[in-house]
Amino acid sequence: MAPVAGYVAVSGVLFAIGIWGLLTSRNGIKILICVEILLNAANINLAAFSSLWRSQAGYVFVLFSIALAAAEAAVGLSILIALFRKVHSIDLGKVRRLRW
Amino acid sequence: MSNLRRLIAGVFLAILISLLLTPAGWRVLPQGVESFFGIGQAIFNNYLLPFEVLSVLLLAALVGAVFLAKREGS
Repeated sequence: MAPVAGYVAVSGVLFAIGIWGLLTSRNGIKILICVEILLNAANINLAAFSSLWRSQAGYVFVLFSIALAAAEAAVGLSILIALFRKVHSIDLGKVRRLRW
Repeated sequence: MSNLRRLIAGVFLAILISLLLTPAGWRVLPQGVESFFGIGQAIFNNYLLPFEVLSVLLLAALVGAVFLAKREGS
């Protein structure tokens, strides 16, 4: 039981950093990086508990989750490119088209 | 402020290098359930359908990214 505590602690710290950055930043690139940090915190948790319970499902799910993160980063970056062409800024506070 | 940041970064770099250069405490390559062989077997036996669905999703994300980042009018 003991060796998992360190991994869970690191995962919790990473998750806190990601949430904090997500809530406090307006920069689009910064928000994408924070989402990646959140996903990696979840991956560390999955791998740690999969190692604890001697199961392969966690490792396989980590691999799938990394591929999902790659797809998300690609789509997010291209959305940011399209947004920069429209409003000439990646400050998400300045995007007012879909808000009231 | 900049000097303080450099000092903190230097301290962490020194800790990292000292941990990397000490040979004790490394874990050996795991055998059995958590070996890479076992994970590969699990992916291509039990989790084959999610793997294929994921390949389709990556293709869709690729096409979507190209479409979104494409210059308008060309």
